[in-house]
Amino acid sequence: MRLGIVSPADDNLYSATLLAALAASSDTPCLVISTHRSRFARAMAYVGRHGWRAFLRRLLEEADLAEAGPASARRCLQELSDSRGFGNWDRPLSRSCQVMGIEYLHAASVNAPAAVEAVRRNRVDVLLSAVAELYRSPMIEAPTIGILNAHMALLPRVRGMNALEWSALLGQPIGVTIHFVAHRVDTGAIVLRREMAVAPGDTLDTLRARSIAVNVELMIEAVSSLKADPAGRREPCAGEGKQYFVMHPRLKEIVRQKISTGSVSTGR
Amino acid sequence: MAEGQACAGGVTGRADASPSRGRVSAPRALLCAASRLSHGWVVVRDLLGLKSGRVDDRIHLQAAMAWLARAHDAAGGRGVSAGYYFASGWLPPYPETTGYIICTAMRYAEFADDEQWTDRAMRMGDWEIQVQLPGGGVRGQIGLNDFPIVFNTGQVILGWVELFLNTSEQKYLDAAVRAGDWLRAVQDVDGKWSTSDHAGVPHAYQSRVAWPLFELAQASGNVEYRRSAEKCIEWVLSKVQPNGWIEHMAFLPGQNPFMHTIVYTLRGLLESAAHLGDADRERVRGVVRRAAETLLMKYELSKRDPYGPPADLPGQFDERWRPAAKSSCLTGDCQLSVLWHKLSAITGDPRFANAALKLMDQVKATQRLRSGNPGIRGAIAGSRPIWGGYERFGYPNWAAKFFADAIMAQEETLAQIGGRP
Repeated sequence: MRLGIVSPADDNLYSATLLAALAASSDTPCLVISTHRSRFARAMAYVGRHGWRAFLRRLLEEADLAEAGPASARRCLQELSDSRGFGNWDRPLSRSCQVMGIEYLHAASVNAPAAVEAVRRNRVDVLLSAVAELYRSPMIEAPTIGILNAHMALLPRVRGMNALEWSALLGQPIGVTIHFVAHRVDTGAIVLRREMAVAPGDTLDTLRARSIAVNVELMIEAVSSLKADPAGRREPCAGEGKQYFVMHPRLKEIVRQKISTGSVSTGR
Repeated sequence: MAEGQACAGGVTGRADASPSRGRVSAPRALLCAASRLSHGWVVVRDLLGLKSGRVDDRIHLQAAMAWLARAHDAAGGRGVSAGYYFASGWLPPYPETTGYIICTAMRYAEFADDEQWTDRAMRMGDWEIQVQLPGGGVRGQIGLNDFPIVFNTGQVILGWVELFLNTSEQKYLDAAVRAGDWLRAVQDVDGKWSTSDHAGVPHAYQSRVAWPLFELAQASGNVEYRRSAEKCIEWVLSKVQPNGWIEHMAFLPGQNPFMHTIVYTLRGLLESAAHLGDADRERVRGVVRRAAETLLMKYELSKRDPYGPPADLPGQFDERWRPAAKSSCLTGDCQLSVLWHKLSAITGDPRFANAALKLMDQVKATQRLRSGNPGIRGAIAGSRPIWGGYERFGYPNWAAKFFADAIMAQEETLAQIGGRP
């Protein structure tokens, strides 16, 4: 089975660990696409789309983009890599690709024509997605089997952004779902799901970090099961789940309190 | 000329029924803005898209209430000035909005434990009784005009009933009953009001007249008001389209409604639903929820960066829920936040509260907290940018009122979501 990875950055730890894990299980991908752009290039693209006024406004606004604490995520991925013997799990993707002889492509976005063309040219069967961008039809249809995405909640109940936080707020079990990418957000067929326990002392950051490590584990399991049976059992995503959006800091604060006081679903 | 006073002559009460309360031509207002540094700075900020930094929500709320107090004092401490406009300074008092500001004042008095606001609310209510027309209706438009308007009458009933429930003073209920009797007398057989309302046409936002009639029925024990309200709600429901749009939401036929009147309509339905039986209540709430969810999706999906904040919500929509304005209607945004918070509490769906919080962040970023002009400091503009289509170059009192309502509603919702008492 021919695999590809799409990463949001050359130094994205999740993507790098995923690559190391695949290599360790002899499933080395044939293509890695990084959508990373320099800050200047991103700024210019933003100006092109929204204009200078919006750009200046954006600069002046405080954006709450707080995601998982990088230190917690690094620790969890290191523990996973040490326990499984993944080598070079934190090496930049471009360097790993050079060493392993993998085609490495810089693309403006996941939907860039060059990225779609690279997937087709390499006859990629399954593309493993590590980005939060929305995929458009040409890319969704480019791999022969599909695009796999790791979602930080149990589908189909909680779709969309900040899924872990929304699960905690709604009192739903916390977990990870590996699913195929479809045209509507988080509605593709479900391949694997795993619930995560919430331990005493957990925080939002530690949960997000552990969730990233579980993403890697489940992605590897999903690839193995697809290799064994490409048309294997897939659970249709019933689609009744609601789509959630970026969570406001005031609600995130409530989530943090709920986790710290142990009033979230503790899972298994 | 002192700050906060008219720069182009005062505006007295308007006898016309124009929807453009306080609206002035753009060139005239621009000329005025150029002569006033504070006005000019507002225009420059909006031209550059600059926004204020975030501070604690209580500071935003206090600033808005301090502005409302100044608007109250600017009109003699009885009715509340309709607002501060670049071309006119402080306007005369506005009977309609003074009526529903009473509810905000009473709520804030409890929220902030500030008795000053109970006293202000009572003075507003007493003034409303004093200027009530002999037939029972409330005077239309800004200032003291001799024609009654249905919608305005409903909004003042809300204030009188609130005062009666809090003070037990019979005079407030008596005034509300006189107003309610007038509303019943001029109502059409099918529940709408086709005369004595703005521009002489019926409006879907008359659901916000049904709501005070339900409240009045409850306070007075007279079921006739309830029957009137039920008929009105049935008429509004008959205007719901298959896509959830409701006809007649605009000020004038053929216009695209502002967010202000879209949410007037929805809020009137939602508050009325609470007074209906189980089946009807769910039917009406379903209509409101559907429209509110449509607006939520329009808002949340209006961005390219999945992690970024949504774009400003357009101030007008057409009958296919397509944006029909480039500016935002900040008053409508505040009203929508209140509606979303209420729906979050009713449905248990925190996505509504989440969107409301984000929307209010955008409105808060337009509030000037340190302006030297007391007419601007703490006020909420009609539109963003200030030259937008709704209440152009002005700070209407109802924008500050709904802004305060939204922040108080948000604290209630967050307490509920967080499981606090």
